Amino acid sequence: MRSFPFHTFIAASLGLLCLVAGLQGCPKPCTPACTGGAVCQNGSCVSSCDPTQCGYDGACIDGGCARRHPGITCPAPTLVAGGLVGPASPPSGCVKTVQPSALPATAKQDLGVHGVGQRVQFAIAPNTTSFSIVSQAVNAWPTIEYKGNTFDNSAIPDIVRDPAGGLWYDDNNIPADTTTALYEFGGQSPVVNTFTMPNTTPALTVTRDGGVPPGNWSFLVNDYAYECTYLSGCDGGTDSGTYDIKVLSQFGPASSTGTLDISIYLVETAGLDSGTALTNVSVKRFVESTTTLFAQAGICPGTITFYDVPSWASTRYATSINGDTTAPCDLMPQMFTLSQSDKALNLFWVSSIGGGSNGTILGIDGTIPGPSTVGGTIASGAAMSVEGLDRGTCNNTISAALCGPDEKAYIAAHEASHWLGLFHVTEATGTLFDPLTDTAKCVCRTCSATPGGCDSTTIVTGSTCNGTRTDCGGADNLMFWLLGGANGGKLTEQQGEVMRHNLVVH
Amino acid sequence: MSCLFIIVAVALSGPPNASSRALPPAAVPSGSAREQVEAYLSTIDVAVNAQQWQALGPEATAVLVEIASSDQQLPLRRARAVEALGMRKDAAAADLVNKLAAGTSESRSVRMAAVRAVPKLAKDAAAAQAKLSPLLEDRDVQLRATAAEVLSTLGANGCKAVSLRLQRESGEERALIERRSAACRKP
Repeated sequence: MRSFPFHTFIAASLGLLCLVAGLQGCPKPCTPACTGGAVCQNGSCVSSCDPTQCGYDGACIDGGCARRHPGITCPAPTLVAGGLVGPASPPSGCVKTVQPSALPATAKQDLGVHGVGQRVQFAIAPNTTSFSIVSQAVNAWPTIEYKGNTFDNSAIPDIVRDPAGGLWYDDNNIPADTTTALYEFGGQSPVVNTFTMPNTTPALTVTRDGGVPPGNWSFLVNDYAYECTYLSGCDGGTDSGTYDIKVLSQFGPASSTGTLDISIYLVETAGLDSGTALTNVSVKRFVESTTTLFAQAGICPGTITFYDVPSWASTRYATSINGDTTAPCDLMPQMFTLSQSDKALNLFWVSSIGGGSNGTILGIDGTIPGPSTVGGTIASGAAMSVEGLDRGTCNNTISAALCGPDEKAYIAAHEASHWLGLFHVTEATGTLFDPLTDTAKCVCRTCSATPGGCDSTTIVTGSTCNGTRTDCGGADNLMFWLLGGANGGKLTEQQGEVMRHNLVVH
Repeated sequence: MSCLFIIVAVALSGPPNASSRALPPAAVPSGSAREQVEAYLSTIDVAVNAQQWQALGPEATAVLVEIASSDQQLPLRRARAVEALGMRKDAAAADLVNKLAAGTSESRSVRMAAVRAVPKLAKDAAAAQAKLSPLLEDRDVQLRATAAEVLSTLGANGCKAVSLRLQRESGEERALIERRSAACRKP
């Protein structure tokens, strides 16, 4: 016969007695048992965790300390002083010349100059995890008129077909539900367009295991002006546009981690230069919080290089760029031409970004996605307002509302993620969503207290999209259209996949 | 559906932008006045226009004044609150806006927002010009340029003040102020 230790017998006896005694003074057990460091106190699991002891980005979750933004563990990025870059005096005219890619020859195909409407073929090698078609205008009409509105003449490859003839993108046949599409185009890419694939759930699904189908792909060189030649209600059409075409490839195997190098151009110095930035305490916190946000996607910032720009550029661009005036020769696109030819993601720190007759904005990208590895174009950057970098109160919680460096880190990570190919998970209207299935959406008609205003006056906000109701989430995602609170800035697995497929992630 | 069609559909109040999709005109966020203000102050790459700020109703004014006044708030939040007060033409905020515009210890973005708000809250163009002309002497060229930009919208007297200042500017700084006050040279 098996014998029990004496203390077990005592404990069992006490348990029996307590069972008998019911509520008369004995502690109630916890069912189910407490987990994660919580302790049972009279039938309730009580956290033994002190959030103030959880450290940077820590919180009490399930009774124990955990990171609010769980991700891979990244080493501290290497900060480098890049010194002064850019011409000593301002260029005499508009800069929009064709630029090379910094990728090695094995990863790029220079397909030459082609006219719109021309079908171009390119080869995708086995083991290719993503590719980017970069179209740079050699000769393109600046604007078109469509249904009474004037638009920049965006370039966009059309009728993109895989080696088996499968259609991956048709610019005139976009599914209403973009999570069923093989590609999503963000729009607004005059002069330079980067078509990076995969960027939707169906495309990730197709390419996840075997990579991009190898063989000869093809597409039509295309821009809005060319589409205007056959679309009704469109003025300014021409079939005379010509584009330099490059196809850039990323090779596998696909990895769940990656490294991202970042270049920061100090158009607004914030009292810093490329040397002092390296040891500045606010920059240190900015780097730490940016790293924390990216680490959720399996991406570690590798080298962060700070560049000074000439004083003429600082004077010209620091407070004058405008999110509403983004034609190729306007100030913001011209500022982006200061970017170097390398394999980094380019962030331009400015003082403020105007919104024309509208209000100011905190950040903006040249295009979505950015022309990775092709520096010096009008779209080769993302701009963000850096004023207040050294202000606020910073503690263990990443706070875009209270801590200046965290606010900048949030904006930087948001705009950089646009560059890497992500769209807003839900746009302000609650009627437009990103093309990924694992990001929570916030559907206006479901979530808003005033659904009658959807499509007209109603917008969805953090309190509407806090995840307490089905189809009413996403406010905690880094790519929500508003800055997030303490638990904001999250990224999903598919978002991470899209980001890691970008050419600047290695 | 055409991509162009979609872009037209989302461009409800102006040309579309790669990362800034426009809000519906007269949009109203849900929640209390504070929640509504907080939502609009938290936009990242979406601009909020005058009509949208005005649609929030009178309760928003006190929240905006509180945020604009507090040096505990981050500068960009304060600047946007000041900008909103101007867009809403909240006359009760005129003294605060004038003070912030002139306050050399304030952040540049807060001052610039205040400079832009001054004529929206002033009783007339002359009153606005009286507040703005001294700012053409500010040591920060970006502030001078913003003052010149706003003065250039106030008619001949504003343009005269800008023109006098331009005579004392040179190089890229002169070019900046000329560019920002281009309204003075429009026929």
